[in-house]
Amino acid sequence: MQSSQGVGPEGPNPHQQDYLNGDDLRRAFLTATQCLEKYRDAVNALNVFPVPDGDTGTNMLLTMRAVNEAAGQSPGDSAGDVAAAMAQGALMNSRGNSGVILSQFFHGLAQGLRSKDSFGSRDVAKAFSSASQAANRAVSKPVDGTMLTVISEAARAVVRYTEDDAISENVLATWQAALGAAKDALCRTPLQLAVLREAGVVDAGGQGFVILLEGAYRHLCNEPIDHDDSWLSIPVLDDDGRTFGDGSLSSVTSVSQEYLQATQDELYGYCTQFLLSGQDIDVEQLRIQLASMADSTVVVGNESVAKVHLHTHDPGPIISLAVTLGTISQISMENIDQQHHEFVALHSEMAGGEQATSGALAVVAVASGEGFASLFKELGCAGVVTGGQTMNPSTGDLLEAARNTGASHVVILPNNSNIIPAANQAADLAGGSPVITVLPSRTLPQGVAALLSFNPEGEKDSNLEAMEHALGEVQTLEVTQAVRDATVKGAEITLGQYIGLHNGEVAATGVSASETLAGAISAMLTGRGEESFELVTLYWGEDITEGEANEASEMIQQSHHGVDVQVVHGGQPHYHYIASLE
Amino acid sequence: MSIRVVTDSTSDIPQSLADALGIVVVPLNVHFGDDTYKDGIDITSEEFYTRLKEATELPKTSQPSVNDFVQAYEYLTSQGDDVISIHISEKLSGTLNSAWQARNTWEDASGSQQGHGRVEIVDSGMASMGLGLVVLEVARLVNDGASMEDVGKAIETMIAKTGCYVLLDTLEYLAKGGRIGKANAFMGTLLSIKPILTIADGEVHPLDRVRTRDKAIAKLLEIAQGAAPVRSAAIVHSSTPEEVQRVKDGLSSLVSPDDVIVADFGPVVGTYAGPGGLGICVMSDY
Repeated sequence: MQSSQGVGPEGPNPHQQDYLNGDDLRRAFLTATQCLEKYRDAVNALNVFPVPDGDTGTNMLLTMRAVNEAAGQSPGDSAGDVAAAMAQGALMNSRGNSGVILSQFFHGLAQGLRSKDSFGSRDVAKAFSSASQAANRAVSKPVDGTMLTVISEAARAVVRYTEDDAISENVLATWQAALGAAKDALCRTPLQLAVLREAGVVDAGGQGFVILLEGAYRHLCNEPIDHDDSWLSIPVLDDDGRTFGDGSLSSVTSVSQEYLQATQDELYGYCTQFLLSGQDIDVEQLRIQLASMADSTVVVGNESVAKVHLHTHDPGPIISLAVTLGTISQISMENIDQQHHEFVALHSEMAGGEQATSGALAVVAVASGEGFASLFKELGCAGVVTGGQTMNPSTGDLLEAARNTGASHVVILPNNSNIIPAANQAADLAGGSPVITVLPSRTLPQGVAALLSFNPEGEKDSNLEAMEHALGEVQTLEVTQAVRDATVKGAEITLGQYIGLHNGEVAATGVSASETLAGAISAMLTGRGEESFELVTLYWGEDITEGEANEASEMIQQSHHGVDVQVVHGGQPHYHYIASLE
Repeated sequence: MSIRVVTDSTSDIPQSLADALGIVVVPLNVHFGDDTYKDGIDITSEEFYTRLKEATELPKTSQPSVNDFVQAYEYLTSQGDDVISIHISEKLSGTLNSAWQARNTWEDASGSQQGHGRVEIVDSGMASMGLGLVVLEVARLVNDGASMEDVGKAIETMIAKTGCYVLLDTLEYLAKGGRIGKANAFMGTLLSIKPILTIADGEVHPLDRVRTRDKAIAKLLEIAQGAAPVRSAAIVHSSTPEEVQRVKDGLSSLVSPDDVIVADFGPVVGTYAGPGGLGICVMSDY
């Protein structure tokens, strides 16, 4: 650890220091990122909803990687310069809701440290305050019990702490005060947010933020960052996990066993990738086979070479299977950076070749699944960015796609609520070149509906109006499998069970994808009547065969007379079926 | 001496109406393989769609010959009448080329003769009943005693005030027939869509695309409301009487159902529209 002033680690009290410099900042967050990397899967596992969700831990980690890279390339070494570089790096590469909030945190931090060569306690207080304000401004409706609350509480605590003259000069003690307050706030997030309470977890983004603060703190104090249990916060829950006392830490009486179990499990998963070379490789068959053995399975390629990416607890059987099919090479395990970049590279090929549009208005959509990518292109998207529920594109990805259209005004269809913040941030960053309008489509069918209303020849304003109107006209059903046990609105859902979502809310559960789809349709019709829709578009995902999709279609037509069903290949991961009703 | 109005068969004006107003309709041709039919003369709309369903190969169309126009112009002007000849967009058909050449031929041969009338040729920039409404309006004007100059002054405004909005069941016929124009943006095979098109600046343009026919008809009616107040309106279709009635009812706030002209997409236009087409053409007050 380098320090510009104060007592070094070799001194009598390693935890006493008055000032930190730019290099301290840089190194502290580098270490913090290493810590986050270790707990990435644990943070990912804090999904409050039992559907494959935007991976908060992954999104924050990728954002932090960009922060570190930018910090390393900072032209100046002052604290202000480094913080400014970090903020810029975060801004361009933020992913998901949590990444965007994190990038705003760094933006505020940079404002607080502007033109500072080094910084002390009061600067930390100022920086945290402006960081908290910036982060809260980033979301349209700040919700209590989220990462924002954790950041705000940390900021409030350091301001209070530094007002006390007697202890305010020790910058490390100030940082510790922020960390302590952040941890307290994190433990209480289930008291503020019912979804966390039901799932028995703390907020994922908040947990990620606390890990970063703690990692930085341990670096600054020269403490070890070894793996131990104290890194993960324990949710404050009452006996029955539902009602609460005064919300103080003393009301902790139970810990969600499932939560601890889930995070334990996740810690031992391997992200496995390899290249399979051989003859007559059946990519489709391989994908089906591997998907039954592992998660997040991506298999792309042709009959002579296939690229495999998956998450598994035991890579052994996967590798054993692969060597029977050909030669394997470029084996990598648990290398998230490579995973991400290759994933993007593989999929950008798929989304490549889009035509540049010089027209006034162009549309860029985010889509997961080859079928959806083709569909969005065919319907007139100038750019399709690969991404979705579990792979959120960064602000920079979206901005680049928008700029590549060559249009002066670009509409972004995020098609997922987790991607809307990054899209909004891309719109801000574009600075009018191009002008970016984010139409907040939350599902792929909403995006399709909006795009259908887009007329390449139409006036900009009437197009925007028509597209926005179309978003609200479509009902979306999704069928997926629960990734963990959970209680949603009083209903018990077990790992592996099929769940049907109507506009994102659980509407049905079942033992098969088609049964669950039928259940979700019936549930949707309750109170609406049979005549409320005439067309079902059934997009089948990568876990479903065309034959199965056709059977499901026949079933729908039999039970709902006069309804037309169109079966379309979506190819989306995780979601067996996505259906739109109109 | 009077003014006679000439158009071509792509106007889709019902024969009885053309006869009543003394409009001369020059037919285009439809070809099924080696069989050639004069549009609306050798083949009715009904026969055409029956044959279209059975045909293994899509029909083709051809413009009237120069001679067809020469004969029409010669006959009318020899009576001392002036002719105003209004046609389908030059960008959609070679019909105007035949008309222009015919006029040149006719001028060389007999145009300078004493007592012969003159021929004015107009590109409507439209087709089907969009063109048809303009032709009918001009015919009414000349029957009320308007001069060539009066018509010349009014016709551009009439064209600008006329809209033609068409719902197709599929873009397949338009694309295969090479007339898709800017509506190409709506081509696609992955999702079945109902395209709504318009003809403007002489070409086919995309207006909207919706997933179901029901919504498409509602959309078509919504678009038509923008034309109020309406001077004349037509429904032109290769659809069902039920749908025509629905559109008539839907237009009742704009125009009395009795005044709505109902016409078929004739064989030539039908070659590109295909079955299941439904159009609303409206001329706003001018």
